[in-house]
Amino acid sequence: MRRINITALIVFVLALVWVFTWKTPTTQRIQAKVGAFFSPFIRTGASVQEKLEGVQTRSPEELAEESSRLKREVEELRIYFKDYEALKKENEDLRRMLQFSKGYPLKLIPANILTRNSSTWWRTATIDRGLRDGIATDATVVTSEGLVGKIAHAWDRESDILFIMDETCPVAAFLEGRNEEGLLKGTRGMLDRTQEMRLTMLPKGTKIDPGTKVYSSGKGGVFPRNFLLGEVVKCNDLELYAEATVKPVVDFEKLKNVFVIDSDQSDPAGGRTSEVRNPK
Amino acid sequence: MTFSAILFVLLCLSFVAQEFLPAIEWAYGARLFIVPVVFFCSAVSVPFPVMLMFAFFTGFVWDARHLILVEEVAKSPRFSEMLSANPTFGYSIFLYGLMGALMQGIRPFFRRGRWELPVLMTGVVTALMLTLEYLWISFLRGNFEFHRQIWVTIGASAIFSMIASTVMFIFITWLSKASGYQIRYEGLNMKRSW
Repeated sequence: MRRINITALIVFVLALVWVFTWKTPTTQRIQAKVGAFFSPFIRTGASVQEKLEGVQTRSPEELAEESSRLKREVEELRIYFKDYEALKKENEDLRRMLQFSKGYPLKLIPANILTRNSSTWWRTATIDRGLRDGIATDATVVTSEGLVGKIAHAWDRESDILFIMDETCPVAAFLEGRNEEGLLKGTRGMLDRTQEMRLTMLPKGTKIDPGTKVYSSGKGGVFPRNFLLGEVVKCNDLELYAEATVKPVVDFEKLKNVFVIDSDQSDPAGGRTSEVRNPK
Repeated sequence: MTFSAILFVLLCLSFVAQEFLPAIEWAYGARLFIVPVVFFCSAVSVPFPVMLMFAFFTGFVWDARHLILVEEVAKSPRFSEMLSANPTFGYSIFLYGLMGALMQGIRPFFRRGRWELPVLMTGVVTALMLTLEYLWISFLRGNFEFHRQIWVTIGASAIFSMIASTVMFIFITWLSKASGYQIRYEGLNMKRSW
């Protein structure tokens, strides 16, 4: 091997080791800068893809904009009114019991999905809202149907969502009308749209009826409580714990619009619920 | 020098082009990875040190754009929502360096105008890189799970890469002629008499 090749190899290895020593905040800053650089291309690429897929209407620009705004409003209203009365009553009861002086109104930031799954092994999507819109890393992403995921990294005008069906985004969950709690995780390598998730670490011997709803419990430190995650398909008893197969309530492949919960109002302590009062 | 500079620009442009390429739904999210294709084709046609420079740049930008970094949030040990490990920033640099070195091994074929093996190798190396990536992630997370979808995704991505590499090799050959660069095999210089 020629001397120059050996020298180049040594320099390469040293530079690689140096990069490996970087801490996460440093690399996240780099990702933010690179993401900001690619921002216009991501948007243009998303627009081109949308046109090619024939999803975009051929109506004038104003109509398209209005349609998008109305869709967001409908989604917002669906979230506000979904189980509103039941949650209101539950919240009032809890507030009385725990002497809460004030509730937690959630502020939702509407966003459109630009592209999805830019990498092979992570279930992600890029949305058109970023740091300048008040979005921060780890902020919760929802739709009217339920919990979608969290912000993996945000840069100036866009952000990447990590879907809950990705293995790296587990959610602490509880079963509707029951005391059992577990951890809902995606399955690595299951890349089809009919992906089912696993609710693990349930107490051994747990029997669950198919169709039982699964909600976020807020005990994991990232996601708020009471967001619908999916429905139980079946339950198996394993060696150490029981595990349920859960069908996610959100169709991640068809998602177009999502809402990001303003990170300033984040209260991962579990006191917050999905009650939404005044998003404006 | 001019040729390497042009290839570097081409590599930069491939990152932009990658943003325009959608995932193929029927292939479980497989896509044409134009950045690796341009890198692998360039790796065959440039000297080893330049290939390493390209590998560093490509891996660095790739991780900066695509790698998902998660920090552990462990409020409740039992229900911690961030426990699955991901590769660290920079792992793609290593993978690109490794794959580039493999591509360097077939430079003599490319120099002689034989494209069959380089095209085939581009597909093999793409599949190998994705497989290594998956195995690495699985190793970090402590268990190995293999589903049919994984192999379909890897296989489809490899085939897309092979198809794209034919065009890329034609283009690179044309570029080398246009810039007066001769794609030569430097390994032959090291042949010893004994």
